[in-house]
Amino acid sequence: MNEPEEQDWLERALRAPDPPIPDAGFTRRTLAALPPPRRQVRRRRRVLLLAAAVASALALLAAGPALTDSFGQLLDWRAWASCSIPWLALACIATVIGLTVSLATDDA
Amino acid sequence: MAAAPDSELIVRVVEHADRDAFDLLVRRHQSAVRALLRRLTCGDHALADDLAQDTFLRAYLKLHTFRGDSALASWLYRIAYNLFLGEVRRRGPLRPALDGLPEPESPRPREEALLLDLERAMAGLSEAERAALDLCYKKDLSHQEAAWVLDCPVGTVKTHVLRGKEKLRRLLAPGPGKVTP
Repeated sequence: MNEPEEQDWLERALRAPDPPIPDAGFTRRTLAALPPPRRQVRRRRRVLLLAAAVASALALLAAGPALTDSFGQLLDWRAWASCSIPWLALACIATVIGLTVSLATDDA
Repeated sequence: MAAAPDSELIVRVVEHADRDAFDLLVRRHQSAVRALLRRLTCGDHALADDLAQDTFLRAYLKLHTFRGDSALASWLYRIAYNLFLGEVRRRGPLRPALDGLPEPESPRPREEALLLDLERAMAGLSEAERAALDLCYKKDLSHQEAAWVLDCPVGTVKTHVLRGKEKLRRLLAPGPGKVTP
C-alpha cells in the first residue's frame, strides 16, 4: 500500500467513532457511591446542635443556685485567688461559645 | 428533562442537589469517558470503570466550580486524565491488558479487524500520545481544547499527535502476521 493511502486509512480509522459502551449499571453504581446530599447533612447537624443546646439548657437549669454563685464568683475576680476557679460558669460560657461557632459555621 | 442541555442539568445539580439531573449527566457522558479511560489503560476495563466512577464522583463534588468555559465533556476528560495520571504515578506504567478486545483469530469483517489492530497498536504509544490521539480524533476536540484537557501547551499536543501517528504507522506496517490495510 502506498503512503498516502495508508495515511488516509489511518486517519479514517482514528476518526471512526467508538461504539457506544452500554451503561450496564454503571450510572446506578456511580449514583449509589455519591455522598449524601448536603441538605441532609445540614439537617442532621442542626438536629445534633439543637439536642446539644437543649441538653445544655437542662443541665444549667438543674445546676440552679450553684450556677448563679459560680457566675458571681467569676465576676468577682478578687475571689479567684482565695478559692477554686468557677468551673461551672466557665463550662457554661464554653458551651455557649461552642454552640454559637457551630451554628455560625453551619452553612460554610 | 431527558432533552435538557448539560448547562440546565448542571444548574439543577448545583442549586438543588438534583440527583436525577446528575443521573442524566452520567448516562449522557459515561460512554465517552469510559472509552477514553479504556484506551488510556490499554483495555483494562475494570480499572477504567473504577477511574470513570471516580471521575463522576469528583465531578459531582466540584460541579459548583465548573464555569462553563469549556464543554462539560472536556471538563470530565480533564478530570479523568488527571485521575489516570495519578494512578500511573501510584502503580507505574500500565501493561497492555486488552482484555476487552476479542482475539484476532475469529473471522471478522476486514474493517473491524483493522480497527482491532489499531486498538492493539495504540497500546504501544505513550500515555500522552494515546490521550492526544483519542481527544483530537475520537472526541474531535481542537488542539486547543485537547491542550486544556491535558494541561500542556498546544505545540506539545501537536507533537504527541504527530509522533503517535508515526508510531502507529510503524506498528501497523505490513509484516508477518499483521493485517495490512
